[in-house]
Amino acid sequence: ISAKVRPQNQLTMHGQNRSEYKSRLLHPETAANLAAKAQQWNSLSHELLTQRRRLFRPPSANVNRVSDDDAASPPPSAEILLTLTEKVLTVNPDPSHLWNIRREMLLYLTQTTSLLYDAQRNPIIVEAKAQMEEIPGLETSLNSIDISQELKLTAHCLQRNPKSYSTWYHRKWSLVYFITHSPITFTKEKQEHIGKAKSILQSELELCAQFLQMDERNFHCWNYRRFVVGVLGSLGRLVLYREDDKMSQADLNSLFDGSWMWLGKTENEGEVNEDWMGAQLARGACSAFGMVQISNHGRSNKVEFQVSSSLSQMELQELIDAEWNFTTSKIEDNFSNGSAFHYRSKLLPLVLKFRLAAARERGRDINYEDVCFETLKLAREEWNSIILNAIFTEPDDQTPWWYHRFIVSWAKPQFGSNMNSEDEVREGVAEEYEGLLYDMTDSLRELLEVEKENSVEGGKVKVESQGARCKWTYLGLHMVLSSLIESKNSLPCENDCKGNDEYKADVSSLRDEAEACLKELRAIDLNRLERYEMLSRVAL
Amino acid sequence: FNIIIISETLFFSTQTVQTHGDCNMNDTENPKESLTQQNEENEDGDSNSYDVILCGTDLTQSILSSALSRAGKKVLHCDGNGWYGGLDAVLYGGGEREGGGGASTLVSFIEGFIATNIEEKIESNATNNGSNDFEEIPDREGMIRLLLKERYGELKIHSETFVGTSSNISRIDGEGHVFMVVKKETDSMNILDFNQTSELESEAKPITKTSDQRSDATLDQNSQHHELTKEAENEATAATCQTHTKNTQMTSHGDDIHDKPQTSLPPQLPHGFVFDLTPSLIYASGNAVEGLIKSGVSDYLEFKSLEGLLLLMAEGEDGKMRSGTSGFGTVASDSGGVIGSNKRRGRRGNRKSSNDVAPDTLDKPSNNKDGDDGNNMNSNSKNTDFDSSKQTLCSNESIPPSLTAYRVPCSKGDVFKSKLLSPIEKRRLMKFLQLISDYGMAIRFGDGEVSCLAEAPSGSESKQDGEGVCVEVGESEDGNGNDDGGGDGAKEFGETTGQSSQSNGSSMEQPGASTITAAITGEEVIHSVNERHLHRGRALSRPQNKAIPSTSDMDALVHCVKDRVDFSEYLIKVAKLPERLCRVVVYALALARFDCLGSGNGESLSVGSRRHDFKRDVDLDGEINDIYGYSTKDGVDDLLRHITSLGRFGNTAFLVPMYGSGELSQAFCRSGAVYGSTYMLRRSPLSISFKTNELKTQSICRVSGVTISGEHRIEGSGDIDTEDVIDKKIACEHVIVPSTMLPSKSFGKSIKIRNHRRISVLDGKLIKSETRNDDNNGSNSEQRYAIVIPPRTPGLNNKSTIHGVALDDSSFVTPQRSLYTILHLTTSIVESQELDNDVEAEILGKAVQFLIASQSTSREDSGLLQECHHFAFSYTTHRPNPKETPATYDASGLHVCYRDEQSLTCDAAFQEAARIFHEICPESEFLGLAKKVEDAIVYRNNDESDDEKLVLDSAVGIIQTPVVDEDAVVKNVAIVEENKDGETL
Repeated sequence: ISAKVRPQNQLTMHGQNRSEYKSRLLHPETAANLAAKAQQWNSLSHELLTQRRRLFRPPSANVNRVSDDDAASPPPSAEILLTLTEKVLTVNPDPSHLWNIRREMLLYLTQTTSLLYDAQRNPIIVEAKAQMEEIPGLETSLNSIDISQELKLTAHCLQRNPKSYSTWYHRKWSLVYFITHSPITFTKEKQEHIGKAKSILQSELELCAQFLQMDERNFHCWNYRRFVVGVLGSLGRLVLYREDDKMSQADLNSLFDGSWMWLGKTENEGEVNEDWMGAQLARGACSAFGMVQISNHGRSNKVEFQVSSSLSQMELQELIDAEWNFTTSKIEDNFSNGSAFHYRSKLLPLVLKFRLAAARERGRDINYEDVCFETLKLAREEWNSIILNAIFTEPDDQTPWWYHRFIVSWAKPQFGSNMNSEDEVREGVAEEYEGLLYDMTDSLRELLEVEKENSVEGGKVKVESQGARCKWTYLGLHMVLSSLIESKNSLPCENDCKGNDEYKADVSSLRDEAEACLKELRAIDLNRLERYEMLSRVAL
Repeated sequence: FNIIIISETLFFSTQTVQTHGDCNMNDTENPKESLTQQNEENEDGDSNSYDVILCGTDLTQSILSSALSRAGKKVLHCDGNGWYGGLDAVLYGGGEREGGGGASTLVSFIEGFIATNIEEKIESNATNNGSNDFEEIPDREGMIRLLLKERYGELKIHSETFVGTSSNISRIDGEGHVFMVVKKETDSMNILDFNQTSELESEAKPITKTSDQRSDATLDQNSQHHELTKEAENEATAATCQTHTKNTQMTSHGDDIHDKPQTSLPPQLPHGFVFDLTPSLIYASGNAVEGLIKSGVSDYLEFKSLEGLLLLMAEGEDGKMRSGTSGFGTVASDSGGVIGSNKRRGRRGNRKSSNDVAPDTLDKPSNNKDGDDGNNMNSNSKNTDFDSSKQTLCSNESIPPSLTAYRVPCSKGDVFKSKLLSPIEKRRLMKFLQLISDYGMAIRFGDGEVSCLAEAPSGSESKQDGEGVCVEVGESEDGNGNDDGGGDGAKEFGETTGQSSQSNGSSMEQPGASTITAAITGEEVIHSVNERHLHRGRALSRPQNKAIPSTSDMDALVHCVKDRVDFSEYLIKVAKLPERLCRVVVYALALARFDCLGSGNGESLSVGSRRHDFKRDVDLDGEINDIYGYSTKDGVDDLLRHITSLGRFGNTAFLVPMYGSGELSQAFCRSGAVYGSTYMLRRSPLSISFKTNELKTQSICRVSGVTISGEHRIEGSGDIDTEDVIDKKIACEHVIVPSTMLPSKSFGKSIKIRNHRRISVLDGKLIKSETRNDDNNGSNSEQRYAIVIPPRTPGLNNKSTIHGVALDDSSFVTPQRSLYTILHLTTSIVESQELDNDVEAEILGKAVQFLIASQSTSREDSGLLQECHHFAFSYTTHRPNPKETPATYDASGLHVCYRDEQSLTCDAAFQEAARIFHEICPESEFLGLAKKVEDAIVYRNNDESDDEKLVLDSAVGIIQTPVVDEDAVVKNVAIVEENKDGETL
């Protein structure tokens, strides 16, 4: 029976003993079976390539070599090639060149549907293509692919191998192609098309949920999920397309690349708000749209909230809330999930934005101070509800620690050094921020205490790789302490508190503690000795 | 595999025929043997002899019958009931089924019980002797008389509501007069009783009262009802609760449900309910699963995973609510005595009138018999005032203190999510659980048993055990660890227990401890923690490459296990768990049955002292320590059993058998039949005979046979041949008899434990799902929950843990697509003369209300869910006592099997069965599959097609098909599409 266990069940890839798996594959019967299958697959894929070559062969070449091996074989057909790619990819979804051929055939077929059989009889396809491009009316009716077919195939392939890059890519490509190449001349059809696209995208989210149920750490699927949400957000741009003829097809394509640029658009066209998107994304958006990158560092206290996605504010909020809750539930299932935390870090600014928007609706005037306080409030929630519980449940799991790092840096109030905001505001915000940091240090010290209580003093070799030695707790504590010191130092000088003895003692005790952490880390984690020494030099 | 099924049905059909004939069955054995048997058993003239006769079809016996017949033994398995399972049976709700009294309905179960008690009463009256003559100790020559089937485990029925649909109301009064009221009279009586509800009484026959099943002393026990809680009354009124109050309560109950006080029908238990007499789950990895898989019996069964394990705890700080029962009343009324009281009061008012009539008619037959009844009369006469005062109290009572059902944090994810624990508690719990699972891993994959490890002679051996890294660890252990690590723990511990000699002893045994740590810290075991057990899910595993537990913690644990330290002591002083966490660990993770916390430390002084009082009450020769003593080893073993089953299937460690856990015993009986066991239902084993052979100097007492009852034809059952079959003695080598069938007296001073059960039917979903709040407020969630209510829960004041199992139609125990929930509650108590057993029954009743209250999130909610039926009973189990085996059961060939005490799982039954199996067949494999069956299974599992190959073949097919013209192309593609659909599936 053991020999019969399917050797390539990728869904159970986690937690398998490599040697057991290997030995199963090396079982003579299994190995023979596999070898036979591999050979069959190879010959098929070879056949596929040959046929494709024949299909696109220039007529002159065809005349020259017609007497060779091709003579006996049937004339090539794009449909057969399409079917072949389907079969071959079903068995092995990884080779990207086969997916390329599939896409090629799909495009070929959509562009030549009506002329296909002519083209078969008349091997001068290039000419046919050229002909077709000259007929302008043809394009609109024929330029769509059968999206359900592609989704079905890729879903099937992904069930086999949920981590196949090329399959996920093909799925994205199919979606974007379907959305951007559609009858969009008339408003009514356009609306229908958008409605259909929306329902497909919604079901894609459900599919993602299913895949993540099977393996919640499949980053491919998390990426795809963010892509789907991005496309959902961009969907509304389709309405604008061709009404104002600003956008070219290339622009349209770049709009549906799954990035979340629509979120970064501010009320004033042509500006991208860095704070909502993170610097990296904003830069991308700027280059794509030729917009001005702005950030709050140089801006007045007014903050804009408008998002020019065609989804209504309500829909957008629902979407983001659903995604936020989704990450929460996934983290609850297993918090050792970097992808979920990463997604959460992407969603966090949006959640903040909607909260601010809600506050604004209640009639409050939101200025930058409120933004800072709301940010800190959110950060505190994340700390209390997730990070604190996770690190106390398993302090040796690095995932929550990374999120902790993110939260601390994200929550840090940004005051441009050249900006003269009122000192009172700055102090208030800084105090709040430091309060959060002090709470963190308290908890982390408590954690260290519990962890250390049974450890044996002296004699033991404290090497990180040999077990739990609170490496991450020390690192986290050090990071929080450094942030505290930094925050204290960044207070405006005119307050005179820097000369204060109390202040000095405060900072120096924090410094000592941070240095103690580094000392401990140097003992625990020999592999990163240099890094800790560097950190300690920087502190000095 | 079909062949087997056919042969199985054959077996069953022949058996059925045989049970209807006389006991002369299975004449297939060789004649020579039977001849010799005949000579031996000449007085009976019975030619049949069996290797083993099994009495009762409880789970343990059923497993044994399957195992023994596999081992080639000739097995006769008899049961007095018409159904399989004994005390593990499933009984069905609803009215009469065909088959008359033999039907396995709850109603017939109760009726059979009542009938026996009536007979018994008459008999005892005839002998003019109050004592029960069934408990007489048999003489050595003859035999042991077994209990009547209705008296197994000294069964008692405490109360019920609307379970029976019988037309008879039978009562026994104090002097044993029997009142059988047939239907017609019932009607008239009910008219007097509840004149408002007379017309419905004639139409249906909804009320069967609990009959008073015992002698006069226990008569008023039956009147206890869950709504009449002890706090509501002083001692005197508690004693006077009479049957009539119960009756009114029954009606009131019906009213509550239907919200129509007068005209509504009392709810009738519909068909489709499945009640387990003993509900049990199984651990997802353990004896039971192992046995089921190995034996192939799992093929007969289906399971689902348990949705959650819940712990009912007081909200907020535990200590606050701990102040005891005195404060309870006020707490309760403060927390919302107003709810629904108006509504209820109105209805009560109506009912009073019925109350006035009730005592005169119903109690008259009994009220002049003895003092108790006289009391009742008095209370009856002033019952208007009494009732009204009680009603207000009751309405207060029905709102219990704020207990919350928390999900028990077992796995890492649970701990992370848990709202029960503070961050620091989470850390402590995780550390502790990981330590325990490391310990378990070390036992299993280290050098075998802990004891072996502990007794390993020297430190040098520990070096040999683990090479490479291990040597290093071993050295540090020997060098410093000896004094600093384990020594520290041991010393610290020695101080706390105040036994100075202990630290000395433990340092002597230090090498053993370091061996176990070496086994854990050694490279290979690290490997196993990371890789070998990842497939068990992420229940507790550490992050990759972080697998080394603290050696000093492990040393301390090993010492505590070895020194038989009290588990609570270990938890508090060594593992440094806060008290609240200890409760979680002991009751919800180790699933301890008895109160084993709260001794010794100052925090729980009041509780501790109360416990000691209780201890003094029941203490007999210090044996009680055996029960309440819960050593670290016991605790760790229990914990490991739970922890190792985590992450196997679903979110909890438990599996729920579909269609009731009684299916388990049926499945094993079925497999026993496949292997040739003979089954006789409706044939009670009456007595076991012995024979004494004088051999030289010593005399050996041997089992010679079992007398099995004939069949008593049930009146009116129009069977083919209705003459009674006489009792018959059947010879055998071995007899397996459960302790519950033996007269209790003969157990002397061994520990008897009374298991209290309450089966409740709730008219809604009990447990609200936490996660799926969005759809229907979680009220339609599937109900497969286990509930733990720890001892000394405020407001309940329960002495032992209460275990609950809530099930619904998702496990097919309630009518399909109905909203009912069946709630099983179980608690147990050491049986003694002084203790009033009905207190526990009452506590269980209250626990039901507490549970309902804990799940109603808002105040409007609280009235929605009601207990509409219930059935409370109790039985006694015995704890095997190796020191004091009952002398009469010393005979060779007699095997007494002990029923597990209250437990959430039935894994112990497998252990017990294995024990007895190895006594009888020391050489054979327990529950091994026969070759033939095994082959069939292999064949069946082998059938797996390679769909990848099919796809490739079809692709090759496309290429090879010559494409002549475009029509052919189109056609071909179409075919391919068709194929593909099949393949992609």
